[in-house]
Amino acid sequence: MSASVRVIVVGAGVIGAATAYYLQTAGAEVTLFDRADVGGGTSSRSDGNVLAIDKEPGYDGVLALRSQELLAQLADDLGPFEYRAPGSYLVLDSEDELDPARSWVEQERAFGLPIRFLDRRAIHAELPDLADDVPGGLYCASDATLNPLLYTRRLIGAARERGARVRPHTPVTLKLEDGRVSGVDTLSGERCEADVTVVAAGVWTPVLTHPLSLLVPIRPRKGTLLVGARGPLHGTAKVMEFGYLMAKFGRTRSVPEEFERYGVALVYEPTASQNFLLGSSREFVGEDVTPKEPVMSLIARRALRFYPGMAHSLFIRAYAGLRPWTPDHFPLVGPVKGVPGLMLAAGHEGDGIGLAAVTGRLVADLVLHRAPVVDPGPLDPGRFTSA
Amino acid sequence: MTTKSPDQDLIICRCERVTLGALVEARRAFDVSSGRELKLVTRASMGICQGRVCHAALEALYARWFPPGRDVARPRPPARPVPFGVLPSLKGDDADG
Repeated sequence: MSASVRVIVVGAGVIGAATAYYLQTAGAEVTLFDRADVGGGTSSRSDGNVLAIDKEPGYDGVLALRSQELLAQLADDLGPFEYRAPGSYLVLDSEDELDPARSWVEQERAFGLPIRFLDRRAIHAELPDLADDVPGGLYCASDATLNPLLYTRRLIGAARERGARVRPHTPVTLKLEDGRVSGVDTLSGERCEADVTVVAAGVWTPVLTHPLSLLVPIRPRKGTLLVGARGPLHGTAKVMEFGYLMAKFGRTRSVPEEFERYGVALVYEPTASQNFLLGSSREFVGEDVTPKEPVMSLIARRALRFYPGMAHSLFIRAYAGLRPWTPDHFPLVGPVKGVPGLMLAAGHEGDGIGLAAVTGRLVADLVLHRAPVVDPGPLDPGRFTSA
Repeated sequence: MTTKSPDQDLIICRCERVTLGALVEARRAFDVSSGRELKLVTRASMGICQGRVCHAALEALYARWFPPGRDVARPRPPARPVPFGVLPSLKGDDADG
């Protein structure tokens, strides 16, 4: 090829960052726009989970595992972003969950996940801070964690070193010409042309595509996190409750109704700064990211149920982010039928940090017509959109 | 070898031990475009006091380094650190926030 492919990526969150990185590394000429800060939206308001333990066997699991492999490579290739892969635990709330947990382990093992069941004695040996009555748990060895904002910045930094242009604080609109997207216009009237424009704007994607009469079914789902002060940790492992899976997939759990109403389930994540994060919640309440007392209270109650010793730890901060929800829990990645020049890479809900690597790589493969790293079929935006 | 001027060792954020020099260096190394971005890469004001001590100094630096309007400091709960043990007794009132 004599000239490189010119690509505009709209959205400098973790998905846009990974997309820019893989494209620029493969020889495309990338310009990355964001209306505000780098990673200033959802990517700086999330935890650092990179999980396979919570993925369903099949395509869901394939995506997660491929992304974990790519991420391990990125950890070698990029500057440090607090990446570590200590594995993760799911802990059980009651003996009623023993059977579902065992069958989850069986189906995940059959699929090839490095996951094992831990009985009462084993879970308490591995997680001594856990409440005495926890009857068992699961462990997945491949799960990792990282600092989402640093990860985003390292991807963008590496893309920039290879020649990508990075333009934060520059809102744009898509430019439609003769039925195709030919690039973007900035608010100040500058026109930027591209062969392909990738919209990786998470919950704000519909705002960008709306003027094209393209309806993208991504909705903001609020997730709240609490931060514990630096101090003695409650174990160095990342721990979630088994019910988190049920909350994620919208299945029934045996918890009081108020936990269900706000989608509250334990997520405990010790961070590299020696603080710890507590989640999680899932609510459809528009774009308000103010942490609310009922949700903070429920998250703390859930944490204390599993970690009674946390009652004395100090709570220093709460924050919330908007997870880009889609109707089938899969992101929209790939070209949009009927709108040449446009690709989407958005809608990862709570999995954007974990799936950024595979998403960025897949977009690069599709733009450059290479063999795709995973089957793009199930992520085809065409399953929802019509232009 | 470069010599650092002594004020580069000035501690701006005590909780996270972030010096003026560290802020200057991070701003350059990460090509930072706002105070919030700088905070997130250095942890300045993210420690136990949540910026109650350093926010005035940080805001003065941000005002010098970044265009106006990029740093809306939002007060966030809790107003001061509290044990997690007090959270379950919070009133479940949706109208607050």
